[in-house]
Amino acid sequence: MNEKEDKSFDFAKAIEELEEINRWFQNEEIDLDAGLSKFRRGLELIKKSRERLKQVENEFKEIKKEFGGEEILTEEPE
Amino acid sequence: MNKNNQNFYELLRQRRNEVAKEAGIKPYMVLHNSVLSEITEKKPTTIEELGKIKGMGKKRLTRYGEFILEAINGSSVTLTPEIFEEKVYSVSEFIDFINELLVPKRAIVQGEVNQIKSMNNYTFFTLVDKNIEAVLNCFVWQSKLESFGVELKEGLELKIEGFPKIFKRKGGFNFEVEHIGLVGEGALKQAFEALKKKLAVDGYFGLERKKPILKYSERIGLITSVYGDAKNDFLTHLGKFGFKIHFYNVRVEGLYAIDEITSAIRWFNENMGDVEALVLTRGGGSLESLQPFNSEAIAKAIFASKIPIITAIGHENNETIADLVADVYASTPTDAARILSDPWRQVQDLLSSYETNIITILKDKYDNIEEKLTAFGSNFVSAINMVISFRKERVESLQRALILSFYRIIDRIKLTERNFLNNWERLRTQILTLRQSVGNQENTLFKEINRWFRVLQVSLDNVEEKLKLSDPTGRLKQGYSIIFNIGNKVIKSSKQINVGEEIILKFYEGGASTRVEKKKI
Repeated sequence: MNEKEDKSFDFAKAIEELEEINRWFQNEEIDLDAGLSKFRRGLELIKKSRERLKQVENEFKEIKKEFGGEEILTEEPE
Repeated sequence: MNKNNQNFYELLRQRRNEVAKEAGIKPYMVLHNSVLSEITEKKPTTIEELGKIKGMGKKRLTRYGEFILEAINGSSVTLTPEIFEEKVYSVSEFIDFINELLVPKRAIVQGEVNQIKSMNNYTFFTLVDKNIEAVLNCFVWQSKLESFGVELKEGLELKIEGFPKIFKRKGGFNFEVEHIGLVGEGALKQAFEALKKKLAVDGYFGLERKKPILKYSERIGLITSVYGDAKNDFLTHLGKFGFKIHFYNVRVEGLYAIDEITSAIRWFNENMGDVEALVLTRGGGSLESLQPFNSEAIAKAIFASKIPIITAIGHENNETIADLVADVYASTPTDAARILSDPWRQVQDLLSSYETNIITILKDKYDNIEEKLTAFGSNFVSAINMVISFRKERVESLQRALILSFYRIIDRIKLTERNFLNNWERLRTQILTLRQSVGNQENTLFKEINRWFRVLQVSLDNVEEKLKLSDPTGRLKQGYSIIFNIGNKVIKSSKQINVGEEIILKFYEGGASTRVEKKKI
């Protein structure tokens, strides 16, 4: 369960988990101990998500394709 | 190709490969082999002549013109007249030799379909000009024909792309069709409707087949033309959210577009499976220019893609088959950019709201528990207070009732008093009236009383006279006597007395007693 600061932070999953935590907090009866740990996890996810949002520059790469244009395959009807 | 030419071609090819290596690009990107063979054939000696060669655009001319001309002019081989070699070909070899020359002559030809002869998996047809007598024998594989969604009919105007070729078995000259395009709005519309119907039946537009787009996509494959506005529109409106965009340049118009686009879609699926969304886009245009996007081949490629595809083709009112098959259909390139970037735009607020939510809720719950504890303590007191206040209330309500009825009584007394005062007024007048009448009577009485008095006096006098007459003492005066016995009883008959009995005599003045001696009856 020890999640290290992994570089491949999955933003969509983080938001999903946050949604889940948020929903959990909407429940009438909540356990205060569980609440505290969920609260900490929530704040951590929010922090990480905000960090991800700071990386704003887009990367743009053009794909260099290798056309099969060199060889022309021809076949004939029988 | 004769030996001279073959040598020259080889030289040119080597030079081309060197240039490509220097530039770090693929040889075909410098010059296509077909261009090399055309240069070999025509041997242009000036830039102008070179410029006329197909495939030598301005860019290539300035970049590569020099080395080509150097190769031509510097090569003494090329300037020597061709030596016709006495080579004897077999038929098959010769046809191969000719086809080698013919096949690279790719071309687009427009004309009207005339005769059609369909076999199982291919079709022969002729293409003719409208007014001039000229016939081109065409050959097309059935699968190609189907992928363009064109149904051949006599008189149908077509644009075909392909290459010339001699078929060995029959020795006929044919144009092998690789791409077909319809000409004219009417035909295009008809083809569009027919394909739409067919694909609908085959379930290409089924909503259940559509793949969802990840809400926070990062890796995007962009398939469009490097020259089009669509690319810039898309990139400008995507915003900066750390997207990784892989751009695949394709033609978005013309007969080659279909192949390039389907290859692009396939390429992403085969080589970049981690791309989360493909965006296939181009700007608006006529039905004819959008034709590739109404082809069955592109519909199939989109349908087969494992990566979800967003299409944004043309203006909002352009409906294409590609849009219908796509997982998400954006109206414009800008719209496609928004679909991918809006979640990122909104997530900032979402994060803040989650933050406030969980902080306040946790705090509330904590406060709640504190509240509950305090509530437990104060419950006893409050219970008692409640009882007291309940009692108090009852007493107060009784008190209120009492006061109320008291007021009611006072009201009644007041009413009675008022009634009494009213009645009293009436009674007073009655009494006054009575008193007056009594006064009147009194006066009358006083007047009469003297008269009555006198009358009474007279009658009294009369009664006195009569009384005087009946008084026994008066009789005694006249000499009469009264005899009593011892018992003082008046004796009126001799029967009342006995001989020897004492009797008393009464006179007017005085009396006497005697004895009876003899009785007379």
